[in-house]
Amino acid sequence: MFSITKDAISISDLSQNLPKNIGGIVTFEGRVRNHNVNRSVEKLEYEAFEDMAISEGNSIIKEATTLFDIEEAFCIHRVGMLDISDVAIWIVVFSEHRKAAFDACEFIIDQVKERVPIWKKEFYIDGKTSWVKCLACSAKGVTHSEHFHHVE
Amino acid sequence: MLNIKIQYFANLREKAGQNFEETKINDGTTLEELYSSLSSKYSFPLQFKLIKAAIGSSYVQNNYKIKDGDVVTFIPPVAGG
Repeated sequence: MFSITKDAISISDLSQNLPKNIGGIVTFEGRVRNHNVNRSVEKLEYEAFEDMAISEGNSIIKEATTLFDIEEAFCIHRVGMLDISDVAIWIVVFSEHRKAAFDACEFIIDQVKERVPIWKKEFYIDGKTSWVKCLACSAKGVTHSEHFHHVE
Repeated sequence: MLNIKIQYFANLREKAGQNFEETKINDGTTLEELYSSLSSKYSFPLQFKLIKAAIGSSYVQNNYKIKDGDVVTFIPPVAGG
């Protein structure tokens, strides 16, 4: 299941009521860092086309359960203004074996970055802002230096 | 004429100065023609080739035939996660 929240993401205790066939749990936390492409970031703001983001996000989760031998996967993405180190996205994948969980988790974050209609505006310490454009972010071999920004 | 609604996000929203607008277009207007017209009006910073289009909540191909009542969203390059 994919969801959007305006609230701070609280990392859940996953050990409660786990099905007994689960042998591997992989989680990913995407946090706001204080730099991007050699610029010092003060904060950032996420904006979403919410209905479509949820629809596309759920499609990605469904694809992950088809492509990889996993039991279940969840993804939460936060929108609004975020401070440095805040959690922007949290993914958790449950499976019987670890490899499928690792692979599915990577697939989900890569596809979210490529397809889900969410945008990120960075606020720099010099007062400027820019909308981040992550073209083909999920393609292998794309480095951060290849991300470009439209500086306002 | 077709009555459509256009939805804006991110830098397109900032340039348009609004979240959405309702407008009329000629039957047969392509997505590229519509975007080009809006781009001229609002000075969008992105070329059409960098944009994806959605109708309702689903991506469509650029050759999609716009229909009366469609809600069109031009999607700038996404940056979630």
